[in-house]
Amino acid sequence: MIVHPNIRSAAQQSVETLFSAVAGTMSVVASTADGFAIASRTTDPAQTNRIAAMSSSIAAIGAVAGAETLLGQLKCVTVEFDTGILVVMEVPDIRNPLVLTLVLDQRGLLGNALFHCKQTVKQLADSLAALPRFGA
Amino acid sequence: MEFLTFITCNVSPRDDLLLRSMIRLLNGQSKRHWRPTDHGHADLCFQGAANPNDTSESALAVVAKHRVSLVSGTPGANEIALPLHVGNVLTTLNRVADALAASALNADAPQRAPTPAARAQVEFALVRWPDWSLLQQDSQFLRLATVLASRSADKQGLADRSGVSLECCQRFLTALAKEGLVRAALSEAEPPAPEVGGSPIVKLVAENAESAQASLWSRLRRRLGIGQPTPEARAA
Amino acid sequence: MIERKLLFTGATGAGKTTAIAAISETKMVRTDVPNSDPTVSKALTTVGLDYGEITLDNGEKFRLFGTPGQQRFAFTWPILSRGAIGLIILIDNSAADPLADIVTYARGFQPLIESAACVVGVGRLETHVRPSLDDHSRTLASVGLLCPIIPVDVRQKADVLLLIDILLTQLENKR
Repeated sequence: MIVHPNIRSAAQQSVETLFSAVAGTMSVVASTADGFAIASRTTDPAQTNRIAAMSSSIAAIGAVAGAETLLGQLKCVTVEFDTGILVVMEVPDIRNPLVLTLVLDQRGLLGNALFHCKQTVKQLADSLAALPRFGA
Repeated sequence: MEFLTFITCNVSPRDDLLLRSMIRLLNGQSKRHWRPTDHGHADLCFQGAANPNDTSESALAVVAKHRVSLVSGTPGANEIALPLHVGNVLTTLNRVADALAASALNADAPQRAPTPAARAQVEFALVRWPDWSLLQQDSQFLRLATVLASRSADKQGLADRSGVSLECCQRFLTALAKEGLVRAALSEAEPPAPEVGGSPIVKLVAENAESAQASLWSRLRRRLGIGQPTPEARAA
Repeated sequence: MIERKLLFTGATGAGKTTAIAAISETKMVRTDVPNSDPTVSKALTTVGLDYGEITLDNGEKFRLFGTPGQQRFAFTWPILSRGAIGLIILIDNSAADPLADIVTYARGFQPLIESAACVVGVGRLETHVRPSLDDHSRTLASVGLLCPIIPVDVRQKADVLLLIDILLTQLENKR
């Protein structure tokens, strides 16, 4: 997988910011739409690639559910567990779409997480719009 | 019966020990598993010349489907060279296994006298999926291979389940045997299906499920316009 | 309850989506996204599942599912395997190591293969004759599996139907 260094760099910056901003964050992973991790900050690095692959499937299935039900573009998939929350958001970009994943433990607050995730997605989308496409 | 048997006759104690050790080691590499027997009836007898004058009852009583002689010098057909080499032993075991499979194929059941185990039959199982060139020898071979890959069968059972003629099944099994792709084994005739539960309602539910499944396959075939269902599916 | 579900799997580019599209009567549900893997010459790749349907003459639906092919999506394989009547594995013979691919899917779907039925279709044999079908057969045997293996071009509907015909023949003959 070839990803332009500027994209990696922009994604890593966003990931770091989000990780620090949300209490209870265990992992933040930015990945390509087809499930390759390009930037991450996590308490368990062994999980990074698996989170990237799973998040791309979750985002793709969420997106197709939106299309089938005529509800429009996917914004976010939230999955709640006994002891934490998984938030998957698409970073829209016509050339370099990404998936941003946030994994929270029980200390995390959903509203806070969604607010910061949306901020990060917007910043990252703006950065991507100015960058070259994959493989360039 | 998943293994073949061998016996030694007039073989020196050293070669006897060697043969048994080699064959034990080769089980897993050889096409069939082999076990020694001392009961006088075996699939293969290694015939030595250690004691040519041995006229003991046990030596004379050996009945084997195949005999391979241990010879010094260049071996001919049905001979193996001394000293024994593991590669030669493996080749011999596989050659005899193929010959046994082929002779089982050629056995014409109706013309044979009934054996003591009257319900025993020769069942054939695919060792692995045949090469495409073999399957192209006849338009029915793909279907026969598919049926045989699903479960082992005797020749008649294969013909019944595939709806293909007995002659074509014979040609198919012969072609497989030539490539060492079929394993023949004696098996008891299939026992009647076990009783499902005790209650008539439980039996009825089981029968309905089976019939619904067969009906699903038929519907799918009809919907996609593919092939003819097997005679069994058609009957369901 | 009888499940009415058939699963397609295989490497990226082997033709799973094409095979399902060839026989699905409804517009397929696809989870294709832009491909960023330079070792795969495809613009889009499946990351979730493909889904198509066939309506039987009694009105029942027969469902066709395609899995993502890449190993990193192996977590979806047991999920999609649940309740399937059989598996069609598609191998691209022009891939870097088609024999490794067949082992990956044979092992990845072993429970389904052993409990249901499976057929392997090998594509692009006309341009990539090696490994041969016999090599594929030996490889499957080496992992203890015996499945029908045939050459296919899944762009041809007849080839997809032949795969299903073989699968149904196995199911009809299972003990």
